[in-house]
Amino acid sequence: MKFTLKVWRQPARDKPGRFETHEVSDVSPDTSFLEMLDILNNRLEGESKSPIVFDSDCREGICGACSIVINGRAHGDGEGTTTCQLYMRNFKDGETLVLEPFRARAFPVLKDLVVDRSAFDRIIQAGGYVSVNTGAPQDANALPVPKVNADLAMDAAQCIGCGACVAACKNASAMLFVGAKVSHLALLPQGAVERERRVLSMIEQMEAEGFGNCTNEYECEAQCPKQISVSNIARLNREFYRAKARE
Amino acid sequence: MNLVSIVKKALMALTGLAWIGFLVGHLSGNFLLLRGADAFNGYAAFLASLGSLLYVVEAALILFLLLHIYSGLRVTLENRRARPVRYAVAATAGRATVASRTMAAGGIIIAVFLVVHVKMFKFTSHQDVNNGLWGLVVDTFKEPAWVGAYIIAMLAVGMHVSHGLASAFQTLGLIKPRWRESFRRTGFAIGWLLAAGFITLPVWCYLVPTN
Amino acid sequence: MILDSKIPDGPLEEKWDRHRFNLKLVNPANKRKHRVIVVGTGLAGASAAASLGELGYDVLSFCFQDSARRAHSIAAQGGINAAKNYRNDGDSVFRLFYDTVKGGDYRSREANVHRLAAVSVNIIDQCVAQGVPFAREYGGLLDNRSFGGAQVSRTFYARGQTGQQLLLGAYGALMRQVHAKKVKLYTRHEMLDLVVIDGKARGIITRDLVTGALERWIADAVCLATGGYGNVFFLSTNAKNCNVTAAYRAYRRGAYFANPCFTQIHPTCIPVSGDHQSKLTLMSESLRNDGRVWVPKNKGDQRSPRDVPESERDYYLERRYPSFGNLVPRDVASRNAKAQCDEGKGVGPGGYGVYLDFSDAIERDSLATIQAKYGNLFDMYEEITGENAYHVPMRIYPAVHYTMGGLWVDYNLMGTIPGLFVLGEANFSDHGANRLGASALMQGLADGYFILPYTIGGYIASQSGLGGQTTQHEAFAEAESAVRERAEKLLSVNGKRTVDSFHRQLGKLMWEYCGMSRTRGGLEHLLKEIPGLRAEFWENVTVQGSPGEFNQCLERAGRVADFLEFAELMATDALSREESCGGHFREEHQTEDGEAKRDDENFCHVSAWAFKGVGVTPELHKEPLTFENVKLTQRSYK
Repeated sequence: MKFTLKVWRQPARDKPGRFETHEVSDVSPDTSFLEMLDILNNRLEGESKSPIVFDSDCREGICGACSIVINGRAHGDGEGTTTCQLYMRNFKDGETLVLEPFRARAFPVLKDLVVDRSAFDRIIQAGGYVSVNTGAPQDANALPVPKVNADLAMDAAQCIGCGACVAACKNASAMLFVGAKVSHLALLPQGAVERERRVLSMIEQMEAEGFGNCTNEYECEAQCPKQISVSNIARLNREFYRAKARE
Repeated sequence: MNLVSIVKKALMALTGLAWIGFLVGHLSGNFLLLRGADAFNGYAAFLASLGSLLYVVEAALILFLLLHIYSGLRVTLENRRARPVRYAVAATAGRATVASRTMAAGGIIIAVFLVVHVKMFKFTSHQDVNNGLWGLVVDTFKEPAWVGAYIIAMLAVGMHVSHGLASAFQTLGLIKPRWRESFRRTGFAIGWLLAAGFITLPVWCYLVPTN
Repeated sequence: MILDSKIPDGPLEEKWDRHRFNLKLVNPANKRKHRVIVVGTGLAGASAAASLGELGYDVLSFCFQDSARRAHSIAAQGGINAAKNYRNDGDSVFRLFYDTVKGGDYRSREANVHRLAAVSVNIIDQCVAQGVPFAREYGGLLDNRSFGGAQVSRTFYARGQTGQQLLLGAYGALMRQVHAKKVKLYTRHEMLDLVVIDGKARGIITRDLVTGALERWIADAVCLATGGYGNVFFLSTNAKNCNVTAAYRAYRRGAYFANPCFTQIHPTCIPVSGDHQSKLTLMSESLRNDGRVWVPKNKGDQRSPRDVPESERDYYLERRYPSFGNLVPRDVASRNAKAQCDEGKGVGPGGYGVYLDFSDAIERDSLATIQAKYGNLFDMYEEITGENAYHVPMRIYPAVHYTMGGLWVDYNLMGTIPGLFVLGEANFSDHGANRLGASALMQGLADGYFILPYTIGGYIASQSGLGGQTTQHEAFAEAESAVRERAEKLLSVNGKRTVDSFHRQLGKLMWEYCGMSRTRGGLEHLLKEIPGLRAEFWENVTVQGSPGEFNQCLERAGRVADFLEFAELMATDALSREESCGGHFREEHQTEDGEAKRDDENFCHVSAWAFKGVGVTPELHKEPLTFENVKLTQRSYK
């Protein structure tokens, strides 16, 4: 297969960037999207040109490192996949692919297709955990949790923190990310103890990072590689009102 | 003023819902147009007779509207700022709709319309017009340009509500996953039914009665 | 040097309790004056950094990923073992201990393994308290499953994402300490050297991967939780960026490296499809609970699997191991798959694959049941191969997955350099020659939450602090300039071949001669090939860009350069271990029916290697292993 790639190249943060066009040919349909970029990078290195910088690590869709917007879609247009799980057989032979970094004020570009997502870490630091020290908590089975709640918590906890929700949202809002973590912990008795404090401080940090407001378009859910439901945003809103009411 | 995004959104949702409620009432009242001058003018006179209660409602509607516009503007401007560099290729996963993408533009059309509309029917004297307020309305819509303008404005309302209604419930955290699709459909239907209802009236005025 | 494992006296069950009592304590008010460096934020690193922060130490945490949440522990699917006996099926700490020692083919330390089994129950309690959403039953209590050949149900799981959920728990705990300013976190920082002052580990040199800046960090102790070295094979189930550099640099600075030849090959991976491939994908071995492994009886059978009649299929695991069947341990399952393929019975491209067939399970339990259990794995398989495994059997092949070997540590998890602690997959201690399924997560968290926080206190309390040393010490200057010169050297070669092409070539050599089965001749050949490849690398590699920028090419080059040295160490160890045990299979040492044949008389020891120079044969130190509580037998899964 053969592809034309228009790739965003930006030498460093706060430096201007531009699109660069590359042709790749003889790509096997079984090649993954990132392997296709590896092939291109190897060629560039061989020609003493600087390879395209992009984040990737596990390459099995769980670490959340990869983060490319392909033809306007975060992680391409597969449903429930990360960029690393795309295979070239899913693209049309001869297609032009436009590769851009995740765009958001809160995710500044560091180089080429790599962005700084540490804003997510800071949101979690603000309260995305249960405040227990290592030690001797009670027996794991001392507190039964209804299976329904445990399953809903797990649905939300699957978030891989890749930032596709922000990239997909026209407002670069992080409500799905925050909603997923708040839901995961609020649904479990272990996390419910500090639910008010958690939601308020996570929201406060989210605002400080410069993410946009949610306007309920649900593009985030559609482009989330783990298909995290926007019901978690509704729950986040509820948790917020509840916390405010009790403040 | 520093307002948490969810607060702004809740403000927008609540004031929007109040306005949708008002629109439903307004539309049902307006259908009295079809029953002729006496019925419609009688309804207008009844509203006027409410006196201070009417002022309270009007004041509330104005306040809600201003809050709605204020939070809407804040949200829109902040959202623009949140993505300083746009994508070269704009694409969606199909969840975005024309409605959801035009909330701000539609809102502006509706705001302009409201000013014109209030000026036209509330602050224009109908003392000297044959058949009073009913006559004023019918006369106005004998002008095709006004019919066209109203249709455009009402399409904007339909669009705005078709996204806004279900969106408001999501913002207020009232949507359970299994209701989501029905909420979306209901909101869509109510929005466009309102628009259709409001469009019926000027078209009817243009086509049917003589004053 | 005589390796002192510092195993405490007393009966097995009491060793750890006694030892904890005997360890010196650091005055709580003084803890903040002691700084600890933790490199890596996987299960071991994150849990250690968080726990040390909670205790009050001044902790610096480093990871090369952009977030601490992305370490490769996150990819573990299956589950985590704990001897809770919630199932009333006869599990106990001793049984978990026994299974682990036996599963490790008697090449691990009894005392370490027993401690691991004992704290396993605390781990589950800890994780549940953190809000890890383990699978539950309708009664609200935790669900368990049997996993990886265990005959009791002791594995706790969170869908197919147990590693992710456990890591996010540890990450949350770490983030809490970062928020409390007890831990300072440095992401996109890669450790490139260990600094040793007066024989003690005193700090590290890191490279800021965004700016390229080299930085010096000093501390009372350095903990490495930097994972395994499976990527020496280029193709493995490890994440792309997993590497041996931190551990290997410590080895070069004097830390002994133990049992590097013990690598685990996971039997249920998706076969290689071509030369473009950058990594292999593992599918949870829970699949073997319901799938049946088979190959056609006839060599070179090209028929579609559905056309092969039952009578012409060889369910070789069920045939050879009637009592364990498809659930034999990983090394046994892997080796048998290779043997079938070597005989020419393999299926799929290149004949490197065997079938894992679910049709019987679907018939027995219904399609819906199988979908509910393994839906995500079937989806993943289809995404990668384009085949629907509900209709045609999956094709699987073994792939490098985990490395049991690692830096040598004593009972306190301290290496041969005082003040250097090694945790998780990076150390060698608990899995012997083969790791059981669902035990890696257990070990990482045991080390980080429940072992290191005690033992590091014992070390720090016995020391007199930094004694006024700063990063201005000449050892720091020397290490930093060595790192700088190396980067400059890599960038100045200006050759023709890319870093990846060297890595790929090294990987192929290692897989061929030091992979699933090894021979003396092959290893000797390998030991001749590696130095040549390494020399070519330093003469003909091309590395683009400059050192002072975000330069992934340089990152990869540094890692591959270390793999090129490390590979030699691995081959040396494999050659010297004249026996077959666990993941190390020497063809010369097998029973008549092709099973691994241990040599307990001569090789019941840990091989710990000391660096003597690049290209120089390392020096072997042996730590004898004694078994007082378990009788050494030949593992039998018949």
